[in-house]
Amino acid sequence: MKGQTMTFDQPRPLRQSMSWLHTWSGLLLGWLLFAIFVTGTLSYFRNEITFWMQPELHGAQPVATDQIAFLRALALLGRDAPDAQQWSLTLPTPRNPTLGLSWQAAENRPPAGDVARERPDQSGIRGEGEEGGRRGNRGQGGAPSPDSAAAERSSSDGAIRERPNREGMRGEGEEGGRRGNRGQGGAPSPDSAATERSSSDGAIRERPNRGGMRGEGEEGGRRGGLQREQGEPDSLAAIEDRPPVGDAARERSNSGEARGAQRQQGQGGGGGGHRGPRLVLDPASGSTLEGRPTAGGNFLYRFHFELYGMDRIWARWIVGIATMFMFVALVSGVIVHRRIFKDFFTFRPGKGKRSWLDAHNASSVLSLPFHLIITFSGLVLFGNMLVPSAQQSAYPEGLDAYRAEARRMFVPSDIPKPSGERAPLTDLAALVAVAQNTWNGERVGSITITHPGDRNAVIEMRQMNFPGLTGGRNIPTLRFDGVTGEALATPPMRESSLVQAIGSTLNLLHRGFFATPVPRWLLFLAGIGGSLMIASGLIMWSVSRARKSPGPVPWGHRLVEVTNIAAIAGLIVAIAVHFWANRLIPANLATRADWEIYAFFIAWAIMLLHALLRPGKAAWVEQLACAGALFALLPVVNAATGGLALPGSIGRGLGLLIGFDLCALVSGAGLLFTAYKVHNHVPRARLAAEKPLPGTEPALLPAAMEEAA
Amino acid sequence: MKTWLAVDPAVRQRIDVGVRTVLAVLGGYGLALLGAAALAAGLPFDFRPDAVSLAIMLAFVLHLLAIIWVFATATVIRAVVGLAIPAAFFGLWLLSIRFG
Amino acid sequence: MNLLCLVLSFWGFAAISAGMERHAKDIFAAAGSLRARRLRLLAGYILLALALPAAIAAHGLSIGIAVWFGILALASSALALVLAYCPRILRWALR
Repeated sequence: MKGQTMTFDQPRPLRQSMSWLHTWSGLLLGWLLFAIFVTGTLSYFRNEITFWMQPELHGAQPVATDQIAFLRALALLGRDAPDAQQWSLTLPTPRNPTLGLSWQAAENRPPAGDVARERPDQSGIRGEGEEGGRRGNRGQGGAPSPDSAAAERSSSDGAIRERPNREGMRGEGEEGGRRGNRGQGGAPSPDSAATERSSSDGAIRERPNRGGMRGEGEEGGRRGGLQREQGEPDSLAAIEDRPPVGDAARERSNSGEARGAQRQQGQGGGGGGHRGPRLVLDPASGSTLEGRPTAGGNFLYRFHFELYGMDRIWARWIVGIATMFMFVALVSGVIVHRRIFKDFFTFRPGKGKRSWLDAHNASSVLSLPFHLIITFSGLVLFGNMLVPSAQQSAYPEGLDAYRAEARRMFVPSDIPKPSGERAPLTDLAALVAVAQNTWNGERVGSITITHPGDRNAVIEMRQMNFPGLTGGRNIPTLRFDGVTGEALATPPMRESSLVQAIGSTLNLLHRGFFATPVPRWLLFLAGIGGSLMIASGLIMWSVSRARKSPGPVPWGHRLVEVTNIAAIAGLIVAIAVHFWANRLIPANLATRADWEIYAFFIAWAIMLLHALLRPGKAAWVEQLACAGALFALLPVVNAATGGLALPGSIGRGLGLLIGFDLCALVSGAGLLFTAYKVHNHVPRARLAAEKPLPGTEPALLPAAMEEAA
Repeated sequence: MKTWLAVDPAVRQRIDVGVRTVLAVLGGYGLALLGAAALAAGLPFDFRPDAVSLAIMLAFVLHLLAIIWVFATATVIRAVVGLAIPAAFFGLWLLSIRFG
Repeated sequence: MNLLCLVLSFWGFAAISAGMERHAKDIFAAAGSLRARRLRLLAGYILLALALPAAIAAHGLSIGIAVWFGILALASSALALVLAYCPRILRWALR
């Protein structure tokens, strides 16, 4: 805060310099950081959000998949993909009560040795799929579609698509790299050897994952492997898929997307095989469900690290730079804080600037471990892109060598080749019971059947929940003979080195890869805390400079005020509008997913305009009230536009819908309350014309708390 | 030196802040890149991807420390020197790995 | 186990705050002797430490530690609000 008066070219206390650094590093990209934090926080529940945004699926009964449902699922797969190399089932979970089906077609080329690798592939892919899927979903609306379309797509088509993807990746260079990193492996190989490699490719990808090398890698891996956890997302993504719409094409061109598509399609092979479409079933009835195309929670998710409508690499660089600013602001803020322990619990409401500082300190300090981890892991996730010199220096021979070596992290898998002899599949429900017993009750998240219908069919079951943070994507897996149901040796798990464990922990924490709700909610709450920290910091900049002297407001102050309003309250309005748009845009409009996104940005732009035209306080009150009303009415809109209403979701125990509706209600109430407090607030300075301590709206604070939700 | 001191203090202040900002952002980033390169090649890991991962993590810390140093230290000269010394260290390390 | 962890953390932080002069005055009207405050501090840290095994029991080691941090953040934020608006209700739990 002393920034304006401090002199730099002479000795001064460390705290003073750090205060300057904290103020400016926080302010400069603070608005962007706020948007990143809010959308990122919501991303912890992107599956739930996407599910909410597809009311067509709300009828799914959250029941455990029983024998009949499995038979129906297998019958569908047998009808649509009798010759597939692999079938995958994503079982219903608390985060997605539907049953997802997908398959990977046999490769054109007879899978010789590759088969062995298959499994890894699959996981790898899947993992990626997820991400891809997400990405697809992301909103671009279109993205997802590939999957659905996939089915129709001939294999060659699939292959083609894939190639580009991969190429894309590679092309993207850094991103590829980074991603590669993640996957290090994955990206590269595919192209060259595409078909044969498919599996190997997959494998590669997966390996890294498992190794948990790097953040993204892990992500992929985990997701792949995990399917369970991620699987769910995956499935959601899948659900969303639609024919490519709007941006989809563009999106698709991105490597990521492509990948996503791929993955989505099937967890199948990395390279060669094409995947079938993904089907979504109601596990209770076995009937297929058709969700509307939606940008879904994935739009918010992608936005938080790729923004929107711009080149992905550029966007990631911008977000990476903002993250570095955040890192600097956090650490300098800790240095500045005078009495971090003495003031640990201190919050003094109703005291103007003092209250803002308390609120800023409390929201920062009390969740400091989260803020540091989320920021640092965010950087590390982009590590290969932001710091390309590490890989270049360790591997003067090139990126491929790096990837090749990272690939070694995998232990080759050993699924037998198909025998060519037909044999019926064993009872899946019984195997699920066996797996759950073996895991002491941990549920099965996904099932993969390789060579279905063959004498050598192999069934793999993956656990729904991750057992820990340090193992990368390794997730407990059991393998059974597909015909006899006899347990086979489980695929080997690779031990993580210390560095891999650290990378894995950072990655998993950032991405919230926990299947259980408690850690996810804690991350969500901490994310709200982080959003409040940024918002209170931004507002404090204005508060501490407000009306220190009579006369015209300096244009810089007005600029910050307007931007604060639009970036904080306006963003919340825009998010609410995004949800409303989801329900108000006709379900059969082809470009509806894009329009959900456009609605978001149009609303945001209107809020900016509004903030420009109205006096500061009025703008705050009106936007907060608007956001509050929009959120509070969301459960009503949900019920009125085909969604399962709150009483119904409570009755059926659909936690994800209950959570969404209740969060909307609570945020709405909080925002309205905040608007009310701001409206009634009289600046302290005016009250007691004492010091030029510019009390602005202390009431905003509690309100701000709700807004992030 | 004389002419520098003769500049209007407000202007001098701005120049100082500008120079430090450039040093922190670009100089710090350069140092981080160099440090990551040296660490990735020089850290004694059997499995090179681990060295790469760790080097990347440390690079961010390095950049952070560089930024803090640049803004905390009394003069721009000291800021430059403070970046140059670790940069020289990492540079020499890198050279010794490459050619040593 | 999650709830136990939360209760222990909140209680632990409440005890720690009661060991700090400023908050002790809010909670008890009087700050109390230095020795009493030291004891409260100690008890508070012990309670926080006990919350860790509870989290680990519920989630396993690595996730449990992360959850512990999350619950500490939640508990301390809740406590900050309680101290700001209704500190006296804490008298109860803190001898």
